Parts: sequence; structure tokens; C-alpha cells
Amino acid sequence: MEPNFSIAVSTELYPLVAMHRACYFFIDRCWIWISPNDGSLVNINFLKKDIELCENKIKLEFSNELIEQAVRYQIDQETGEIREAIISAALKEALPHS
Amino acid sequence: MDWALPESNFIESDSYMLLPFRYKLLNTPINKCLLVSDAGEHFLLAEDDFRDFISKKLDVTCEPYKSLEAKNIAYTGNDPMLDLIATKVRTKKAYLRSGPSLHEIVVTLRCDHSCHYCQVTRKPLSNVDCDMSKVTADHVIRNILESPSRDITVEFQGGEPLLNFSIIEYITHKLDTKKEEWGKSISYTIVSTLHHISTDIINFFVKYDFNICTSIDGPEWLHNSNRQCAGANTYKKTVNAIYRLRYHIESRKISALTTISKQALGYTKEVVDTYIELGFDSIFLRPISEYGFASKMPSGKAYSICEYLDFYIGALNYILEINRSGKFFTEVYSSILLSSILTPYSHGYIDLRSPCGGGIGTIVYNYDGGVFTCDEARMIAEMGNSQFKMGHVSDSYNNLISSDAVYVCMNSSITECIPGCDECAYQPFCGECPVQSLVNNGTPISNRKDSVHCKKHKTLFDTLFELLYSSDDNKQILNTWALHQAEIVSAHPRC
Amino acid sequence: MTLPLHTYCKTKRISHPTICKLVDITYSNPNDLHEMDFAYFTESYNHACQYASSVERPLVILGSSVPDNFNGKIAYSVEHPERLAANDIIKIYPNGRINILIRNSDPSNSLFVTESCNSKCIFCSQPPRNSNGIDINEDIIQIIPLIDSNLNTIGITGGEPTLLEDKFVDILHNIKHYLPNTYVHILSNGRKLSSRDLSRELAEAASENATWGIPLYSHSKQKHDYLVQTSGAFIETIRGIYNIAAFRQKIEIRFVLTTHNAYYLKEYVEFIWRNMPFIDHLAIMAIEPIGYAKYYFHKLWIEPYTVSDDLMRSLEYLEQRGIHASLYNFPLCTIPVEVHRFAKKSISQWKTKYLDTCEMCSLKKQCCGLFSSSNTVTTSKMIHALCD
Repeated sequence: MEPNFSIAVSTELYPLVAMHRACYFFIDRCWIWISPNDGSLVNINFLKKDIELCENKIKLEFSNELIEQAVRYQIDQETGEIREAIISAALKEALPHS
Repeated sequence: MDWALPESNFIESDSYMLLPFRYKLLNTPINKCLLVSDAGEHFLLAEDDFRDFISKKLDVTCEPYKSLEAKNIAYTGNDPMLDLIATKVRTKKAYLRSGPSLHEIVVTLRCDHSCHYCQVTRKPLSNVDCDMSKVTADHVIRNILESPSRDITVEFQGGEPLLNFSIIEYITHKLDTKKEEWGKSISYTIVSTLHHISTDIINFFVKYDFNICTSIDGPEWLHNSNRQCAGANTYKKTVNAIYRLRYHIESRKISALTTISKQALGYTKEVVDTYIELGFDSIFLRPISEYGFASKMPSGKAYSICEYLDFYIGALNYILEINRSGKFFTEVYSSILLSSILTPYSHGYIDLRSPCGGGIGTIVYNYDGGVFTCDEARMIAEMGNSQFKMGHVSDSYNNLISSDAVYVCMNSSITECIPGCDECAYQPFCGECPVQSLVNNGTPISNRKDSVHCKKHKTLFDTLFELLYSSDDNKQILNTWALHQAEIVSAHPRC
Repeated sequence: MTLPLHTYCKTKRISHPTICKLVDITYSNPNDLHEMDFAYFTESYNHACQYASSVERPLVILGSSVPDNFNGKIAYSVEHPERLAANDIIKIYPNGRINILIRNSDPSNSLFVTESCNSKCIFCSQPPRNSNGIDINEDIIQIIPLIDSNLNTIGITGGEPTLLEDKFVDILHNIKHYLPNTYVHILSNGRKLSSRDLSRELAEAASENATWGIPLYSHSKQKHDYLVQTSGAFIETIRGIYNIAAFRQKIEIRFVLTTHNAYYLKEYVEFIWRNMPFIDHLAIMAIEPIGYAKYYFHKLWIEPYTVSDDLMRSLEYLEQRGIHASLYNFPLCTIPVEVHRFAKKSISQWKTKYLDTCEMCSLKKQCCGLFSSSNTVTTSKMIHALCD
């Protein structure tokens, strides 16, 4: 299967989770799969669902989406465990008063 | 002697830690970043400030930071007050504590109308085997009483429920007699065209303090075109029934909703004005559903979600204009969303919970005793898919509530864990019914990118937040809607 | 009219401070009275003589004549007889000072249970004196059984009552026992209520007619801690509020308006709505210019009119959301007319005063007036008579 274009992304600079999430936001417009590249690089392969779609636009949006998801990942790292603690506490005590 | 220490002594540290929140950028005209805490509190930050905030560069002595801390989006020092945040989250999830509180009883599938968008596989008047029997009714009554919630709403539906009035009477009378013994407080609702009301029926409604819900699709020509019944003027009949009921029942207990058909799309003002002329103080602008006869509609009657949203937002703006001119009039769906955004409480709306209210919030009893997690589940069963059938009403409440149907329903709708929802700024206020997902996408957990539900709600929330933050007038008005919906009673001495 | 809570008299055979309740024997038969600690209170010398021989209890005689056949304790020649009334509870000192502890006709009596406090609010009107350890007002134990059970309201204050822990639990039990129909208003900073155990015990001991008046001065942790001059106070107070709310106690939140927090009223009321919508009442108060508040007056005082709009919107915001709100200690001429309905006559009658200009005011009767402790410096510059 040949992609229309690929973007090489460094796994040292971007967390893999962020890459997956960024891809998720384009699956309505493209078929996407990730394949290995040299060293720490991976290829994110795009096959347009609609031939009219502008390749450049997708590349630019994807670059920003990667950053967006990397930031969200960073926030999640800092707050994820706290969120679990809060929800456990909230639901644990959700027993009716006797 | 001046012993007081300055304020700087009480700042625990210059640096702060983040607490869980979700965010999105609101576009023009707001152009700010909306941050939402897990308890649904929200705050707007300019983009630059947001970048500073997440890079830990915001000044803790200044106001944006203090509000973020007050809303539990950040904290200084060693105590993030998790127990307090948990209390607020628990309040938002309070609906989990009580078990199913809405019991919908489909007393018959028979109906004399032939509405083109009907989502019930209705049956002609002669099909009396589509009426609920007393035997089934007895089981329904037992299940309702066995369910754990103290405060219960029983809603009679159909087809046209008044065609099987004797069963409605039977069930209501029995429930009302037994409710004290079972420690229940029950309110009754009926969803009906009202074409079959009589003096006896009106007296019955008054006796049991019924809430009445009917359909008015818009001006007379539109309503009659949508909702046909053997050539009758269905609009006039329903409206006359409403006026007749108002002699005996308080106006606020009689409500109506619209089903927005394709024809209605160009007539926003007319639809809203009809409701105002009829003396209602709210309108529920429902889009067409995709089940029942509706899915068999010719394509000329179907419309896209974008067309619906254009219509809806136009109507919303028109209704806000009406409010600004001094008349209190709400749109019910927006009010439901706003009651979650603007109060510490959940709107409790069955379809918009995480997990969804199917089974654990509402139970639907079909005329034949089939028990379902929601009305949509009952409809897809009529079309051959029993995936969300809990069982038969002759079974015990415990068995029904522990069925696979309920389990799948809950498991598929915890938005805290679903991709696309988990990071959405509107997650605390939203949810998706897995049955809808199943019908639209072939799976109970839809891909949020494709989901019509997601697109609709993202647009609605965007619109509401833009309205809230773009003008004080709109903010005031929308707050009154939220408080009205949440049934918060003013502390004003005259109220 | 201000009626101070003390007066002077002459005494015979009162060797130590004595707490007693005044019973008018003009109208009662001494044989019907069984409790200890009653003092007879009479304007009639003859009456006093009549009963003098048959009684064991102290006599309080407003006039100067003393029955000579009486060997018990006597207080006589009361300097301000109008300050005493039947059913009042007084403490008579050997040197002739009389403190009125409970004035039965006053709607706002308070029991001061301790002088100690664990906070140091920058506008405290009754700063605690330096003391080692936590003192308890021993009189409280004696007073409670004497209080007329028809008394409508009793306040409990200090210092900080919760510092007494178990002893405070006992006091509340006693009040519930002797005064089951009296509305109890407890002023506390709520900080020790962050202990769930203490909260549970206090909630069980307090009657269903009890309300906790707890101050919260800001939505901002650092601002509240600054005004209370104690790090960690904000978090402890919020926890305390949640704890006693969980035990179904009624709660009133008190906000004191100062330059430091006046400009954030909107954020504050939103904080209250989202965090404690269950409270029964919110009081926005002006400072009482005595104690620390007088010393720091220049740092604290803000003319209410400067935040008129915010005051209006904030009170309406709370009211819309079902939270009863009041303005305490704001003369009606200093606040916009739209919020007059929230203003209460909040200053105790024995410490109220009015200015000359108030005599012309059509709203004088409804107005709380000024604190009698205020002077020209510590009074609003906006006081003026209002016309209908």
C-alpha cells in the first residue's frame, strides 16, 4: 500500500502517545499507518480519502496537532494520577447515608 | 504596634502544580482558551496566558492564577485539596447513587396518527394485542417498586397511550396505593397527542397530579403536514385539548415539544412564535430521530446535521432576543446543557451522562413485557436487534439490572475513557447513548470523529460558551434558564 | 437607646463572684422556686422583709433599704436599676460590680466560652488577651441551666469555641438539654472542624436548631490566610465547612468587606455557589472599628459605595441561586437602595448609636445605625439622611 505522503517524526522529540492521538484526528480525512524508519525516527503514512484534499494543508495541520497532543500529554503526565485519585475518592464514598 | 505580616508571607510558593483539567480554544469572537475542571468549573484565559500557565510561568499573586486555584485547576503548596475536589465530582455524579428513577411504560403500540418521522413501529387501532395486559402491568408495578430509587417518575407512552387508558388507570392507582409502603415518592407523566381526552381522563390527571407532554411541531400548516390523522386538523385538536386541560391543570405542568422536520427548517421564527402564542414558556427543538418509520423516510424528508444546527442556532438567537425584550422563554435542550455548565449539579439527562443512564437511570417497559435500557433500545429490538434488551418484566429487578444489556451500555459510555471524549473540554457535561452509536456506526462506542452526536454537541457547547462570554445580557439570561431547569428556587422573599 | 451590660451596687456578705438569676418575687411565691442560684429582685422593701427570714438565696434590692432581719447575701442601691429586669442572669462581684450575662429581653445574647483563639484576624474586634494554654469561661456551666427556656436565640462565641474540644461538646449537650427550643448560633472559624471526629461529636451534641457562623474572607487561599494572618487557615476552614455540612448542621458564611477583598466580590460569590451551595445564609459585614480593626482601620476600610455595583450583582447572584444573603453593619445611606432589602438591624442594641443627621432620616427605624465604638475617623463619610 503506497501512501500519498509520509512525515518522519522523531520518537525522541515526540511521545508515541502524542503521535497516536494526533493521527486519530486525521482519520476522517486520511487512511493512516505508522511504519519504522532509521534509528529513532518513525514514518507516519497518509493516504487521502478524497483526492481533492490539499497535501500541504494536512502536513501543516498535522505538525501543529503533534505539538498540541504533546502538550496535552505533558499535562496528562502531571495530572493523570491525581485525576484517578479524585474519581476513586468521589465514587468510593458514593454510598447512601444509612 | 504593627504586627500584621504582609500578604506575601502567605503565598506558599512562587511555583504551582497543575490539577486535572481539559481545554479547547474558542474561536472568534471569543478567541480565548477555555479551561474546564473535572467538576465542570470553567475559566477563560487569553492564549498567551494559557501558554504561560502550562509552562508554569503565571504569576501566583495575580488574579488569573487566583481564580484558577479557586476552581481547582492549579495549586500551590502541599495540599491540592483532593478530598474537596472529589466532593464536587461526586455531586456531579450524584445520579449514580440512586438507581433508575425514570420508568417509561409503553402501554400500547396502537396509534391513530401517521407522522412521517415516527420512531415507534406503531400499529393500527385494531391491533389490540399490542396493548399492555394487566398481567404484564402487575410485573411492571412490582419492578418499579423493587427498584432502589426513592424519587421516581413514571412516564406513560405509546403509540398513543390514551388508547389503553384503562391500563394507565390501573397502574397509577396501584402504584399510588403501594408507594408509601415501599417508601417511594412518585410523579406521573404522559406523552400523548391528547386527541382522546375526556372529562374522566382530565379528572384522573388532576387526581394524580399528572405532568402532560404533547407535540406541537410549529404553526398549524406545518403541524398538520407532519402529523396526519385521517384528514383531521390534528393541530386544532391538540391545541383545543391543551386549552381545555389548562382550566384544570397548572400551565407549568403542560409542556410541548417539537420534532423539527425538513419543512420546518426555513421557519425558525414561526415555530417559536407558535409556542409563544400558545402560552408556553419553553420549547424543545428536537431533531428527527433515525429509528422506527423515520429511517424508512424518503430522502426528501431527511436533512443533514449542519442544516439542523443552522436552524437551531437561529432559533436560539431569536429566543434570546425575546428574552432581552423582557419575556422569559427558554429552549429546553440548551437549558439542560446549561444547568450542568452553570451549576454544581449534573443535568441528569439520561442520554448525556457518563456512564449513560440506560438501565441505571431509566428503564423502558414494552407493552409485551420486554424490558429495555432506553426507548432507542426498544425501537431497535422492533427492528430485529435485541442487544439492549434487559429481559422480560416477569423477571426480578435484580436480574434485569444485572443483565448484559446494562453492562454493555455502561461500559460503552464512560466518556472519561473514550478517545475523543476523554480530552474534550466538554466532557464533564456530555455523554453519548451507546444504542445511538450502534445504529449510526455499527458499534456501541462510536468513533468521535464520525459521530453526528459529537459534532452536534461540540457545536452546541461552542455556541453556548460563546453566548455566555460574549455579552453580559446573554450571560444573565442563560443563567436564568440554567437555574430554572435545575429547579433552583430564588431566595427572594416574593418567590 | 444603648443599655450597657453592667452596673454597680453595694453588697453585704458577698465574698466571691456570684452568678444568679433574677426572679421578681412581687409576682412569685418563693415556695414554688426550687432551683439554686436564684436572687430575689424587688422594688418593695416590705416584700423583701416579709420573705427575708424564710429565704436562703441572695437578695437583689433596687432601693437602698436593707431588711435587718436577713443574714444572707444582699446587693442593694443599684446604680442603674433600669439595666436589670426579671429573668436576667447576672454576676455580682464583692466590689459591687454587676455584669449582666444574659439580658432576657435582648434578642442577641451571647455566651463567651473562651478568650483563646487559634487565628489572628487582622480586623478582630475582640483580640484575645495573651494567655498560656486554652482558658474556659467557667461561668458557662452555671449559666446554662438558669437561662429561661423561652429564650428565642443564644449565641456562642469567644475566642474560638472549638478549641475547647470535649468541653465544647459538653456545653452544646447542656444547651440542648436545658434549652431545647432555643435557636443556637455558634461563631467559629471552623478550622478545628477539619477533624471529622470532632465535627461528628459537635454535630451530635448541637441541637437541630444550631447554625454555625463561619468566616470566609476570599475565594483566594493566600488572601484569606493573609486576612486571618494564619497559613493553612483557608484549607482548614473549607474542610471544616464540608465536615459539619456532612453531619447536617446549618451553616452561615461570614464575609467581612475590606479593601483587600472588596473588588473580588463576583469571584467570591461564584466560589460560594460552586463550592458550598448548601449553606443556609451568607452575611456580608462591615468591620466593627474596635480592637485590631481600629488599629488597622486605615488599611482595611472601604466606602461601600465604591463597590455598589458589585454588591448589588453579588447579592442578586446569591439570591437567584436560593442562597439567603444579608448585609450586616451597613447604614442604609451607605449602600444602594436596590440592596436595602438585604440590610439587617445587625448591631446589638446595647452598642448602637446614631448621628445627629440621622434624626432627619426617614429610614432610621429600619437602619442598623453605627457602632457606638466608632468615632469620626472610623465612620463612613457618606452618612446622610434619606428622604422617602
